[in-house]
Amino acid sequence: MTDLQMMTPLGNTTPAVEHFGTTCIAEHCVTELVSLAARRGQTELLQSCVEKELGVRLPRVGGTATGTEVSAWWIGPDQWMIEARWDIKSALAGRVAQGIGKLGSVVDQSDGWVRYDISGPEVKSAFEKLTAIDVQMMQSGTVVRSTIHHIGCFIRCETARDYYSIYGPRSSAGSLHEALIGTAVAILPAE
Amino acid sequence: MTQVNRLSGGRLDRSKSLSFSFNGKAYKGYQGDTLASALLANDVRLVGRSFKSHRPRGIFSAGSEEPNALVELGSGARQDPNTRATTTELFDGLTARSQNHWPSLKYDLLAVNDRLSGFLTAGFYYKTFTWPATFWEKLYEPIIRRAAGLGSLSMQNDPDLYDKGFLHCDLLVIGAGPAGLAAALTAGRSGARVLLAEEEFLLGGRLIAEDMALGDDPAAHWVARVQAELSSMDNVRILLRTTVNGAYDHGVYSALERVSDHMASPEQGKPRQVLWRIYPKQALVCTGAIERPIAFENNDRPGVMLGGAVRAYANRWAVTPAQSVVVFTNSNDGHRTAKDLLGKGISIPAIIDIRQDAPRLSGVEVLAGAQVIDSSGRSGLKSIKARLANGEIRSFACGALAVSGGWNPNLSLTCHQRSRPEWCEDIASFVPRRDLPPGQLVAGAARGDFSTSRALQGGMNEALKALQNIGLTGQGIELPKAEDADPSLTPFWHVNGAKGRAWVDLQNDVTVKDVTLAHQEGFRSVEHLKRYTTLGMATDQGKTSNIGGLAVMAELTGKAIPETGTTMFRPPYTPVALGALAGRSVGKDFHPTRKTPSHKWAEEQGAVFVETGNWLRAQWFPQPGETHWRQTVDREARAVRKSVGVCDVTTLGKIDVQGSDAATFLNKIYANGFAKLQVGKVRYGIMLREDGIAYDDGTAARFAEDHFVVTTTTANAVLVYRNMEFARQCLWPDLDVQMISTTEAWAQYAIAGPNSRQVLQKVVDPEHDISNEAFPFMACREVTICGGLRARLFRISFSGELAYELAVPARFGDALIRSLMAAGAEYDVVPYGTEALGVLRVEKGHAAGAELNGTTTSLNLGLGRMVSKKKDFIGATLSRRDGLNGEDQLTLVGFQPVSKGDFIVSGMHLMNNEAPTDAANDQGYLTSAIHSPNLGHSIGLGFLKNGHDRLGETLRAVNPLEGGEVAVEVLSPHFIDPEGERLRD
Repeated sequence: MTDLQMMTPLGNTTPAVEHFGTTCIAEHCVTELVSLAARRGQTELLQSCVEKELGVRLPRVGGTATGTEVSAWWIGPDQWMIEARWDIKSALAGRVAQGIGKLGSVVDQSDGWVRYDISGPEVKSAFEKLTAIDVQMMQSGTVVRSTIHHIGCFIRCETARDYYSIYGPRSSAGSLHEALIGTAVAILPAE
Repeated sequence: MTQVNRLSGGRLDRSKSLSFSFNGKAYKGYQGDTLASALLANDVRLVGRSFKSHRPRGIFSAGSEEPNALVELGSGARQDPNTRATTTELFDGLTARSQNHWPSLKYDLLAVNDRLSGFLTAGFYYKTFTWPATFWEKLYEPIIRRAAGLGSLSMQNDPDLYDKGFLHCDLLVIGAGPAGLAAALTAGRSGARVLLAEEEFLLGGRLIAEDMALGDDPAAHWVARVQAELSSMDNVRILLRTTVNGAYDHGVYSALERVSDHMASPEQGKPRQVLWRIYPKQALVCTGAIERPIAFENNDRPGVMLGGAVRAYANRWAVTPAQSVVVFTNSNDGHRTAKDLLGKGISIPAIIDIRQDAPRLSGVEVLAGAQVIDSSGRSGLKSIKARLANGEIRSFACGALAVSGGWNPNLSLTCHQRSRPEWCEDIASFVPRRDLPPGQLVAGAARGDFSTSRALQGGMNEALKALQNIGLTGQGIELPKAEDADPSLTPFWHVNGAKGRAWVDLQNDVTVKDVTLAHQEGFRSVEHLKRYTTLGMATDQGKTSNIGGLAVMAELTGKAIPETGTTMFRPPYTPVALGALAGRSVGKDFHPTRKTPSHKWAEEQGAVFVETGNWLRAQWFPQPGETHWRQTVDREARAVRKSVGVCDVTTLGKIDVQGSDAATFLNKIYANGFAKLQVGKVRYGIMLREDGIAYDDGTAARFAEDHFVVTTTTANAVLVYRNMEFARQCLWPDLDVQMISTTEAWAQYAIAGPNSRQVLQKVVDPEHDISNEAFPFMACREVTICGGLRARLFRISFSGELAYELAVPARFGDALIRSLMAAGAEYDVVPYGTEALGVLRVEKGHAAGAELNGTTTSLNLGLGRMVSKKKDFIGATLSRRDGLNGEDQLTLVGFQPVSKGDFIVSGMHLMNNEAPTDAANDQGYLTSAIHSPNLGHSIGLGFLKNGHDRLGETLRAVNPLEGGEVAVEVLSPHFIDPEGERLRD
């Protein structure tokens, strides 16, 4: 095992968790991500294989799917992101690649993204200031790609209206965090 | 005595007394007042000076159409100029000042302009400042610019936050008067998502400005009941203090919510204003109507007001502008004003009604067929003069004149998509056309339905129509019985025969005579009229003046008003602060920043950062005792050549390319061949635009038969990815290729210098042999480091030294650089920044952004032999044009001053020694120039005509713009290790 110290996208040794009134913004660092793209003409076979190997049905446009060990969401035509709980061996990419063979292309994205979980009864008000997406109408288990303060992000609805995961580029973790916090403060009830 | 003009009643909270000041004098008002109503209550009539003539001006209206009462609010950094007193909600501690005068509001020396009005006519700028022409730039324009404008800026940074936001709904109802409330209630009860935007801080519109009943109750009771019901609905959202400012393409609307303008300052962390972008499925414009004045001589004095505004001040704000008010009207609307004021005990000396058949009103002298022809009172109205139907002239002492010339539907939002309204003879006004923007409907007075009953009915009906349009079902609501009176209007725009000035546009000092002059001088198109006279410009955009001006022009041209037409309506409907348009994208948040995983470590080292796109890159790392950046950069560059240095190259673009056709694909993307690149090898590649010009260079590493990692320059990472994605999807969709950016996922460091291998060997796990034999120049491999961490190692060099690039998952980037620095301590390892990186690459003769400048080809760059003549690739055909391949082409060469003590700078142009310095003799130019610490003098790279055949020649490097000339010698671009031995060592 490596002796190098891991850092969170915000540059700390432990994830940041902050509360603003009823709104919680938490840096989420306990999952691995891999992108999966179907090789040309192999989409259906890949679907079956993933279902068999990983126990999850690759979702359609704007959808997510959750299995016992991994979850998946759609990111583009014949492309998905697979997420699993972080393993220090970074085993997910290898496991997926081994499982699907030449049916798809797998790229480890665990370090490409920062994930913020934002929750609380007022979060829909926060999203009004963050993205042009109609987040209020998102159903649980759906995902969209949009921009937040000029930063390209995925917004995944975990529980409609009060719990969302935002995936943004790791290098902009600080700017995205500032945007989320600024908005969370702005929607606090008047004193 | 305070608040001498305060009446009983109104919608004020009299338990909350508020203190405010105007021009330094303290006053009192109540919660619910606007600044305008509070000033009127305190008998302050003179509130400002006009734009051009500096004429005394007072409050004219009671809403956002106000042309006169523009004041400066706040102080210090929060000083806010040109704010309408009529829409400024009073709060405790508010400070306001009048503007556009010197030395004081009452005694304004600049009012001399008024005496010069004969000269300051329409278009006087164009006529007056034409001679001598040289005076314009240095004398006339500066003076005019200083004299122009109303308020002043604080010149300090705005301390407040502004947010932007996005709202979605089924139905956007714009305006909460009778039509808007009926619509919102109808749609709200149907379950639709309704957004009700109201400019004011109270709902009701004219319902709370009038003394009227709805059913058996006062109108305000119905408003309160509707508000309570709407507030209880989860599917309805009410935005108060929110002006919908624009209707844009695809049915998108903009709205400005004034969140904190009714407070002395916003709460900590809260925005002052929010600029909303609204995406409604349907939008219903219920913006009411704006009353229009009648122009007569000296109609601009403080105290001359719109009749509906006088009525609103009395009914809603319990204020009269004076104890004695004369009414001047062309419809029954003026009589309504008189009736309401009488009911509150105000003296009405007369109603001057231009209609011969004017109805009578008990308790008031109605002068049918009469017209107001003049007024008096320098700082405030004292009397008016009327010409009666029989020609007799009578004067009436009064403190205010309530003028009612009819109402114009407020249709601005219906015309923002370049539509023009159509004329409605029945109400003598323009109304929205039927071809409204997609998804837009109009109801109430905005459509010309001026009675309350028709407004309520129209609001409900249009809401039902909107619901039907989006597949929802609604039911009609029970509407209260309301007045349905005909105003019996006789169109009347201005009093003829005025000898003096009669103002059409109060804000811009445009008079009937100005319009006449414009007509005489041939400016008859309404658009020309607007620009020549400034009619309808500035903060109010002619809300009370445009139609009047058109009517006068129509009279002069002998055309009907609809033939004369209107000017274009454009957003925003009311002024929007630049801060609101910027939102949070100001200062350090102007754009998001991107930081590398070792940014914090670099900060600890005292790095000076430079912006590269959104990235922050360490430019150099100053050490104690270094007082100039070049000392630092020289030290870093020397250390790399002498021993070893580490540079953060995380920012380079990285694109993962996989698929059975990945090699074929890259072979089409790059100008040089990639199909046969061996697994475990890296190749330098160049990409061309379709026109054959080089646009990016980088490397592609082959990790498997079907797996490459492409690196791009930092600046072009997105562009290259986008172009590759286009090629994959559109040019060669049949290829089996999958791509995704992995720029963010890897922290990558260049380890360069003769001792770089020794440092790496202390980090790379021992099972990986990185000796020269096992891991030669241009090799790549997946390895593990520091006890098992997966990593990618590339043996590539930008510096010209033995060098590697080591990439690890980003979360370990910080730890890796610390580990590398510790491992390199015995070799005096240094971190080096982008500046030393640039020095090293110029010494080596590597092209970079300055050379790939959008005009250069592979041939120019000295890379012509790389470009394949056997295969097809993007840019292949056009790169083979004769014009790009002639013998006299610019080619990349090196330069050094003949006198080693001289300095050359990039941008210098090259001239032959005997030739004059001009474009005809231009031989080329320098693209990069540095001080080389390893050579001890200035060197540069540049493009020279037929450069490869001119090595050893001396030329003049000239800088004609700033002066300066340096004799330079032409050299190979490879100043250091031209044979490349160090790379392969």
